[in-house]
Amino acid sequence: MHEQITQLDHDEVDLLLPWFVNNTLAGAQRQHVQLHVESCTTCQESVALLQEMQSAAQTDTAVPMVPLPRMNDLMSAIAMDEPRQTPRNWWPAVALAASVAAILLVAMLVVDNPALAPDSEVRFETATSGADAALMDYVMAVEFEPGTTAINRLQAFEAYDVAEFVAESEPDTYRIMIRLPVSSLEDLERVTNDMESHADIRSVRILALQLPIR
Amino acid sequence: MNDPVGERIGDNKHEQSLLARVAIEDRDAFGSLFRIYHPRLFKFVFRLTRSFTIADELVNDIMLVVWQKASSFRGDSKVSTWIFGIAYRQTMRRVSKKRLVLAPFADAENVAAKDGASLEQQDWIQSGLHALPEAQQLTVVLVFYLGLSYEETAKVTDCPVNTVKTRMFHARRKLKKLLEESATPNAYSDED
Repeated sequence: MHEQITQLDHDEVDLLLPWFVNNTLAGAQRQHVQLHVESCTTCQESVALLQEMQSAAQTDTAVPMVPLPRMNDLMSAIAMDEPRQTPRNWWPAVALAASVAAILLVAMLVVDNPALAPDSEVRFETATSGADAALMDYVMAVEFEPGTTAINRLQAFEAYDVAEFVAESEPDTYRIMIRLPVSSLEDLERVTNDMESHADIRSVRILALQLPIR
Repeated sequence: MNDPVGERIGDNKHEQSLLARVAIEDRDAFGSLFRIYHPRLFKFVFRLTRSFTIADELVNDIMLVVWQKASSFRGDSKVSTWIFGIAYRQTMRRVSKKRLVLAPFADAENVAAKDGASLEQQDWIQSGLHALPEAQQLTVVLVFYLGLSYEETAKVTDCPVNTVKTRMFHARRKLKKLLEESATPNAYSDED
């Protein structure tokens, strides 16, 4: 019984060791851990490893120089954000959802009943055909040259506003969701050509595009 | 000695007063808070994302949330815990979106492939840290880079204290295993 309590005590202390090492344990708790460590070689080894971990975490050489704060950009964002968004106004979201539901309902009625379809030719307007070209989401399959490192893959995308990495469908191919301010097909071609001219990118294919909701 | 933990130790009362002024839209106070937190937030986010561009962007996103939510700060934690809680959530949101690119930075294969004798133990631990799963890596950063207590770590990550302790436990176990493997590079071949 006594041994079991001692064992539990050791496990409890063991879980607390990281905070013993980073010096954030409170007085009595710290004292308790300290006493245990002094008499437990296993915990002494753990403390040594944890001190190495702390040192490694603090001296991570991969962290680059910190850039200068972009205070002006932040202040511009704040100015655009005024007035503050609290309390949250949820009516626009409800109104948007109701509008979408109404449109879908009408569309279903039209599909189900050809008599309701307009006689004249239906004309579809794309988001890119108007003067107010918007940001659009494209799902692209980007194939990298074999052996391209993860860092180089990331760097290849840094020039673009990649919203989401959807999936890695096969080795060396990423599916990405990318947001582009494209106002014409020529623009789109230019962007894909830019991507394909990157040394690590073998090919770019557009799989789908998502129209913004207006 | 370069002591990043020392950087974190701010004057909480001063920061609380700055945040109270930010809550009433005092831009000068916000500027001061921004200058205090910018380097720490950048390093914190960079450690998790490994992207200069993303870290640079995210710091501004985080501080924008600080500006928007300053009035909701109730003072039941340190200002730094509150701000790093925001940083954690914003970063995780971004990281989860980019998981497929960020995951390779956890360079487990390279760690296993390197010759242990050619690396110092410190290098091994640093590589090992990058090989940990996101949640464990983040916990190590919060505890050993930011120097948070287990209660603060739990608050920032919005999970129970026991989860925080367990994550640290598993992180340690994994690193220890890597170190043992590095010390006996031929252990597996001997067994075979």
